[in-house]
Formats: sequence, structure tokens, C-alpha cells
Amino acid sequence: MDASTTIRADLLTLTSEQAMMLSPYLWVFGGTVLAMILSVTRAIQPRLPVFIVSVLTALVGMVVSLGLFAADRVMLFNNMMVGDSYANFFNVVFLASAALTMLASFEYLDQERLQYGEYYLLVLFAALGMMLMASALDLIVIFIALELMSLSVYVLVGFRRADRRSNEAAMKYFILGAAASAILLYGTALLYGATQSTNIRDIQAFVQSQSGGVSIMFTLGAWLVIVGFLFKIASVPFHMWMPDVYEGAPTPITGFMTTGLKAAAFATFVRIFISTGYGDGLPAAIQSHMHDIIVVCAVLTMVIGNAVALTQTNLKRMLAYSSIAHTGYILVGMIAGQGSEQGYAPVVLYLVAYAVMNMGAFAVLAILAARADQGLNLRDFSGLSSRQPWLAFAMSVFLLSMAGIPPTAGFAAKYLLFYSAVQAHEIGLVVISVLCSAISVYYYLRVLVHMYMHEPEEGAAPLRPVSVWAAAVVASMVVLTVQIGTLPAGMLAAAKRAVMSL
Amino acid sequence: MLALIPLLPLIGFLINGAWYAFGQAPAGRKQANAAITGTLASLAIGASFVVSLILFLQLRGMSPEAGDHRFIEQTLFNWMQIGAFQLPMTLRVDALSALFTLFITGVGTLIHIYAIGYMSHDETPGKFFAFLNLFCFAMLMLVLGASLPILFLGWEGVGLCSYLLIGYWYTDDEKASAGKKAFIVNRIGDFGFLLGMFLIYATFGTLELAQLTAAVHGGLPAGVAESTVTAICLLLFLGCVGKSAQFPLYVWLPDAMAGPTPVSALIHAATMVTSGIYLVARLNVLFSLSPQAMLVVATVGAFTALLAATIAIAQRDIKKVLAYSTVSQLGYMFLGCGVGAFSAGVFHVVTHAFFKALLFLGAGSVIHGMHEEQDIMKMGGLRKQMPRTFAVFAVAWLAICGIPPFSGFFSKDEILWQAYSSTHGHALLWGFGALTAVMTAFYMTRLFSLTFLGTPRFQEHGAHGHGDGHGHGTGAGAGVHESPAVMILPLAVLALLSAVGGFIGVPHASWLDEWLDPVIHSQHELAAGVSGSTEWLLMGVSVAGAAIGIFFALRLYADLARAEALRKRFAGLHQALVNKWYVDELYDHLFVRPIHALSQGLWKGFDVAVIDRIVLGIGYVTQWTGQTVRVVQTGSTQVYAFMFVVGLIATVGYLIYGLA
Repeated sequence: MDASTTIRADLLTLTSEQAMMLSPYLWVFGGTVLAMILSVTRAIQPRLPVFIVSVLTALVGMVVSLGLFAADRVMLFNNMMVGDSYANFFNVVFLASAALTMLASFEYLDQERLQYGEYYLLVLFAALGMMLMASALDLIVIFIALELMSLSVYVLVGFRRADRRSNEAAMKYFILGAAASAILLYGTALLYGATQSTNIRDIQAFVQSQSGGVSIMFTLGAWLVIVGFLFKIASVPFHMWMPDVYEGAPTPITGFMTTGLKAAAFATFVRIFISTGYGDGLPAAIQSHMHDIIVVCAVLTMVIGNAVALTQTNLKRMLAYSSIAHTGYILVGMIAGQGSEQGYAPVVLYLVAYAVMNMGAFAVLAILAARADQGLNLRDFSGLSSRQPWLAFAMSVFLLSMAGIPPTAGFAAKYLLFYSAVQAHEIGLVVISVLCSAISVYYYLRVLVHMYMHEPEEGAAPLRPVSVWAAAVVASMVVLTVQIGTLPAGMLAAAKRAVMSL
Repeated sequence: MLALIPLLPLIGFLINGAWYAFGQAPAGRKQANAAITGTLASLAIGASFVVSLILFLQLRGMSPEAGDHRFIEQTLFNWMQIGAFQLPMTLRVDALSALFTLFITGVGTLIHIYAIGYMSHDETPGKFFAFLNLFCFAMLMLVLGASLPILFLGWEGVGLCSYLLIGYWYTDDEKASAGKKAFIVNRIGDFGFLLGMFLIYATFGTLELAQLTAAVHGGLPAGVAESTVTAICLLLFLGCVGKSAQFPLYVWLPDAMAGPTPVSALIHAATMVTSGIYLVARLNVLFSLSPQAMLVVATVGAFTALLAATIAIAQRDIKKVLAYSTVSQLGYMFLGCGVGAFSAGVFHVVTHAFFKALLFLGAGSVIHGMHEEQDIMKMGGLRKQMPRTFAVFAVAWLAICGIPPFSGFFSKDEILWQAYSSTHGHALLWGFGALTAVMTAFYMTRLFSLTFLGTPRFQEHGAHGHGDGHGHGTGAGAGVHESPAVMILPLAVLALLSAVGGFIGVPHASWLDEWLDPVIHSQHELAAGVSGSTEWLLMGVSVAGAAIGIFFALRLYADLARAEALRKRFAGLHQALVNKWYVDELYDHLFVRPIHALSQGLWKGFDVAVIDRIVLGIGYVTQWTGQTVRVVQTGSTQVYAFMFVVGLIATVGYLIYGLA
């Protein structure tokens, strides 16, 4: 009662460490506002200035976050947020993903006649939401950040206003996403009822203080929060929205969703997962039942994702289903996280590796997409090796990486992930994962077969010229894919450090 | 600093490779300038040589007496970590690797420079020099790697470059298959190497060379059986047999001559093929623990030396003769190592690098001047047309024959003496070696005589056109000519080294033995019943043998009619020699065809009939699953929401059930 009337000075002032930790958020926010002003100033041609300001905002923010990576943990805003290595690690991923998305979009938007400044703004706002998600320690803050991200992305998905599919996708995503948010919020409310707090750490402390088990209310609340995230990461059976949305969204945005959005959801999920559902202190019955459910989800996710991807002939849709399959692999890592030596570091590494190769693959798709995102069927890739040898090569690297073939990032990440699952004695899961991976090789390689062993289609439409920006994105992703694949130690160490700071 | 040695050629590779891949390849095959790419590549490896030299001087500055162990180590990064196993990317230079580094970069630089002239007509010199630089990088990693996996990285890397360069003119089917043959035969050896490496890790728990050496330094460690060590050594030696072209895996090396001549000189004579000797010398402490393994090494070496020397006698292709001679000389080196004289083996590696590189480059100069003619029967009298090549070739010829004071004499004599006198040695081994020495003198003199002496046996068109820098026509119109200065200069340097290089290992005052002492502790232990005076006697015998071989060959090939008569008299033997003892045919019948037949059978009987059906069956099931699951994916939001709710209720129900 007193708390609402007295002014607490420590909530209004920032120490220098806190200010420093907040600087990437403030910078990105400031950059976004500047870009917004530029985009409404119709006096100047807004195309280039907005683009450059937005990209610079993301890139500089990324560098700042990178600089803060090694800094000590700082609690922010009365423990509602935290600035630790984990948060900064993911900030780098989000901002890089945002920057690369914008770079890959520039030419694409010109072609689609969608070159509006709002596009970049929304990407930045989504990135800011992701950053807040990964550093939030309070379920309410997480909810707000999630909504900031989601609302921006809903609009981005429907950005091709003239296209029916794009609108439909945005609508579906919005309706189902709203339902998921409601469930998340309901779970939060139940947790508050059970524990008198929305703070993750308090909840964790509460669980550990309960010797005699927890109430149904707590269990229900925790599970509903988890379901909210299972929706965002598109785990079966909460995955139905994903293929339609991925297909309908503008291609670079699909890339953004598979990389940034997915990483954000997982980053937050891991934070919550450890403290609410999966931590110590819960009764064994609950733990084992939750474990069962998530194992079933993971298995279904892998099997359905891969099996349906096999039947797709549209690359965008194929990659959407493959994205579901990869969610399954990451879930395996999360299940294994507690029982293995590396902990959740393989999960984090996998997220990075997956983000890198998917970013690259979608950048290639964005380059190749014809008007209105046509021309992404398998047969359009026939003979790409002779029409665009470098693009075909880059695409091959990304696909091989997704299939988990050395020396690419996908292999190193998958290896470490499955290895940790073996350590956690989840042998059955690993066997299923590996079998699913084997299935996935089929549909990844099929694209390679089309690119390298088929002749180009008769009368294929001429390809649009490759912009410098997009080429830079693709090239840097190829380099990163191979770099993480051959020398995973550095990235793994960073991931470990990030996870240790949790 | 140390990292620069392999890094510089790698940079050269990247620049030349990028230039070729982005500049030339997309633009189609238009001829590029060998001078630019070649100079760049030569600078890269030349700079690497300078760094090696500086490090060598640094090493020399360290005194073993003061407790320095005379090595420099640098860890670049941690390559991988799997459980408790760590693999740092560590480079380490000590006495042995410094020596190898010096001659790899030194001889390498000379050959790079030479190749600028030799490849001047080539269409894709960027690619050529990129590969050549990449080879140097891999070779340097091989000798500088501080642990077996890094050594293996280089080992495979040089194999890859060898394959790429043998099949460099890949449009020629024969050359492409020569590349494949080299690769496949080497795989057999690499298999042994890998198994040996696994066994080492299982036995000693480390792959670090220094730790491994330390573990076995004081004799057999407790709990390790001698048979295990023998198995390790033999498996590793299998790798060496492949890479260093020893019997029975030598068959790839003569075919490898399909590559451009500078490649033959650098990879297939001076450096790569000696990596087997490097490995044995590097692990000399380990090998010394197993008398059986040593015996195998020595016997294989001696037998290969003799076998290859006999084949060399009857070959007509100038490069084939040199190839068999290389196999034979490599056998010598293994003979040296096998009798415990590791430093003598290494000594021969060094001198051989000088004179064999010189022989190959000289042969290249001849081939270049004769417009791609390689048959020595169609040469003759070239000393007039190519006086400079003649002069340097003569030095190499005397060196390989073992005439004092040329370099080959010292190293060969050291090996022969050790083969006789060391505790691991035997008079029979010496006999093989001495006989090989006589034959070496014979076939090298035959080559020399048929190429340079006597009268020309070729049609001389426009004989007045010879001399440096005249227009390079194609074939018939142009005459035989001396090679340009850029090719002759490296030859001159190599000739100098071939002439005086032997003085680093003068018996009883050997600088080399002393230098290598921290790595290879040479015990000049004499077997019972051998006295010091025997050494002089044996030296005399080997020199006399060489002289006889030379004399006999000179006489015989001065008059070709007589040689022809001799050939007719031993027609059967000659035929066997020309056909290389039918070893290739034997392998073809023993291995290639049965494996081919087996593969055919497996393909049709098993793969198509059984495996494919299973795989396709699983594929159909998966496809069917996918199609079925897809049915739910109708696109209707209501259905999606319904599934969402179903999932929610099912999971919540299960949880509550667990709580109740």
C-alpha cells in the first residue's frame, strides 16, 4: 500500500552500469524514432535515408551488444529486466537478423513496389520487442514485449496488401496469435494467483520453498505459459498457423520470422522453462508428466514437420515445414538440457546456427522470387547452377547445413545437440531425431538435384539482378555457416557463457 | 611468427584461387599471364622461406646445454573439443621440422620460379599456382603440426593437391585416371594411418607428438605390450608405404608423372613423397621400441629400392625413369630408418630433394626445349643445343650416382654403412643397397647418355633458331631450344646445392647428426664384429660400384647398335622390365577386377534388389504420412483453432491427471 504512495528514488535513477546495459535498447529505440520521422517527412525522398538509418541502427546496436557481452550482470527496473550475457548474446542475434532482413529486402521491395519506410520501422520495432523479451524477468514485461514483437510482425506478414494470400496469412496469424497471447496471459494470472508474483525469480524461489508440492493452480498456470510459447515456436499440435503464415508473408519477412522471432521465442522460453515448469522443486509426478508431454510434442513436431516437408514442391512452404522440424530438434535439446554436461548451450548454439543458415536461404529466395513471390517452386530452381552459379552454390551450402552435413554449421550444432541428448539418457529421442534428420536429407537434396542436375525450364523468366546488399547478406551467411561448422568451439564457448549467466 | 610459415602460401592460394575463380573461370578460357600469378605465388612461398630461415636461426641460437629444448611452439586456436579430448591447432618447430621446413620452402621457391617459365604456355596458370601454393601450405602443416591429427590434416591436404595437380590437364583421360589412381592407392595407406592413430590414442591416451615421444622415451611404458607398439608402427608404416610409394603401393607414383613437370619435381620427388620418412623419423623413439617393425621397414625399403631400380633400367620415358629412381631412392631412405639410422634417412631426404628436384627440372627443361617430347630414344646430343641444362644435369647425375664429393655420395654411403654395421642391420640389407647403387649408376648414366651425349636422333627443324627467348611456336616449325633464364636460374641454384649439400653430413663430423640430436638421438652402436676400418672398405666398394655402373653404361650407350644387340639377347627379361614386372597387371587381376565384379554383383543383386526396395518403401510410407497429415492443413482458421484447443485440453488433462 505504501509502495504506491512513496517515491522510491532507486526506481527513478539509473546507475552508470544500468545506463550502459540499457544503451542498446535506447539506441535502437532512438534510431527507430529517427527513422520514423524520416519516413513521414515527405519533403525528402524517404527510400534511402530510412533504409540506411534503420540498418545502421541495427548494426550499431549489434556492435554495442557485442561489447556488453562480457559485462557482469546488471539488474534493471526493480528486477523486471536483467542485462546479462544471455540477453546480450540474443540481442546480437536479433539485431543481426533484423539488419540482414532489411539488407535482403531493399531490392525485393523495389521489385514488389512496396518500398515504404514503415517496413523498416516495423522490423526494428519487432527487434526491440525481441530484445526486451530475451532480457525480461517479469511475465508482464515478457507479455508486453511479446506483443510489441507480434503486432509488428502481424503487420509485416500482411505487408503485401494487394495479395490475397498475404492478407489471409496476416489475419490467421493475428487471430490465432491473439488466442495464444490470451492463454499466455491467463497462465500469468494463474501463476500470480498461486505465487503472488509475476517475477520469474520470485516464482522460482516460491517453487523451491514449497516442500509439499504445488497447487493445481500453479501447474495449470505454468503449463499455459508454456503453451503460449509452444505456439510461438510452432510446436505440434500448436503449429497449424505456421505454413500458411510463412507462405503468405513477404519472403524476407519469412526469413526474419524463422530466425529472429524463433530465436526470441526460444530465448524467452528457455528462461521461463528453467524457472517455472522444469526447475527443481516440482513434484516428481508433475515433472515426469510435463516431460512426457514435451517429449511427445518434440517427436510429433519432428515427424510431422519432416514428413509434410517431403511432399512440398514450393520452397517457401518446404522451408516452413522444415522450420517446424527444426523446432522439434531444439525441443529435444531443451528436454536434454538439464541432464547433460553442456546444459542449454547446444540449444543456444543450434538457434544461432539455424538462424544463420535460414537467413541465408531466405535471402536467396528473396533474390530469386519473381513478382508477388511467385517462382519459388522446385521446377523454377532447375538448372540454377548454370544461370546463377554463386547463388546455387550458396543455397547448396545452406541446404546442406540444414540437413546437417559437415563441414557446415548445421552439422556442428546438430552433433552437439544430439550429443547432449545422449548424455541425458534420452536415447530413444535421439534415435527418432536422427531418423527424422535422415528423412530431411531427401527434400533438401532434392533442391540440389534440381539446381545442379536438371536443365533450366524452357522459357524461364529472366532473373532479377542481384543487389549488392543481398549479395553481401548471402556471402556473409555462407562464411558464417562454414565458420561455425569448421570451428564451432568459439561460438560454443560464447553460447555456454550466455547460458551460464542465466 | 611461426604461423606465418604455412599462412603465407595459404594467402597466396587464396589470392590466386580467387583471381582464377572470379576473374578467369567465369569469363571463359582466355589465356592468362603466368608471370603475374607465378610471381605472386613465388613471393608467397619465398617469404615463407625467409620466415623459416629466421626461425631456424632462432633455434640455432638456443643452446641445448642451457636446458633449452630447441623448439618453438604456437597455439593458434582450439580446433575442437569432444568430451575430454582437446585438439588445439598448435604448430611446433623443432630441429627436424625446421630442416624439413627449410628445404620445402627453399626448394619450393625455386620450383615456383621455374614454373613461371615452364607454365608460360598454360591457359590457366592462376589455378596451377593456386594449387601449388595450397600444396605448400598442406605440406608445411604436415611437418609443423604438433599433434597427429594436424599432421594428418596436412597429410590428406598434400594428397588432395597431388590429385589435383596430377590430373591438372584433366581433359586428357589418361591423366585424369592417373590422378584417380594416386588418390585411391593412397587411401589404402591413409586407412592404415588412421587405424594407427586410433590405436595410439587408445594405448597412450594422447595424440600430441611431444607427449607421445615423452611417454615412450624411456623404453616401453608399463602396461603397453610390445606387440601393440609393433601394430601401431606397422599401421603407420602402411600409411608411409602409400604416401612414400613403397612396395606394394608404389604403383601410383610412376603414373603421377602425368602432371606438369614442376609438380613432379616438387610433390613427387622432393617433398610430399618424403612425408613418410618424416613420420617415421618423427616417431623414431616409438619405432625403435619394436625390432619387428624396424625389420619390416628396412626390408620393404631395401626390396623397393632394388625392384624400382631394375624397372628404371628399361624405361624410355625420361620422367618414368626418374619416377622409378625416386621410388628406389625412397626405399633407400626407409632402409636407413629401418636400420635405426634415422638421421641418415633424413640426410638422404635433404640431398635427394636437391638432386632429384634438379633432375626433374632438368628433364622438364629438356621436355620444354624438345616441345613436349619425353622419349629418350628420340633425343641425343642435346649437350650442344642445351649446354646449360646439360651442365646442371651432369651435376645431378653425379650426385645421384654417389660420386664423391657430390651430395648423394655422403648420404647414400651413410645409409649403406649403417645398413651393414648397425645393430638392426644385416649384410644382406647392405647387399641389396649396394646392388641398387650400381644399378642406379647404370640407369642414370643410360638416361644421361641417351639424352645429352651421342648424336641427335630427332628431326631438327630450323636448327639455327635455338637460343634463349626465341618465339615459342607449336611443334614442327620450331627447333630445339635452350630454356629461358627464369628456368635455368633455379637449376643453377639446385646444382650448387646438389654439389655441396652433402657436407652437412660428413661422416664422424656430421653437423646434421648433432643438429637433429634433440629429436633423433643417434646411437652409433656397432654390431658385433664390425670394426672402424670396415667403413673405409665399404665406402670404397660403393664408390667403385658406382664407377663401374657409370663406365659400363657409358660404353654400352655410346654405341646404340651394341645396346640393341644386348637387348635382343635378353629379350624376355627386357620385356618384363619394360612392363614393370607386370605388377600393374597383377594388381589388376588380383584386386581391381574382383572388386569390380563384386561391386557389380552387390549393385545389381543387393543394392537394387534389396536396399533400394527398403529405402523406396520407407520413402513411400513417409510420403504417405505426409500426404495424410497434410489433409488437416486445410487453410481454414477454424480448423486450426480447433486443433489448438484440442492440444491444449489434451495436455492440460494429462497434467491434471498426473497431479491427482
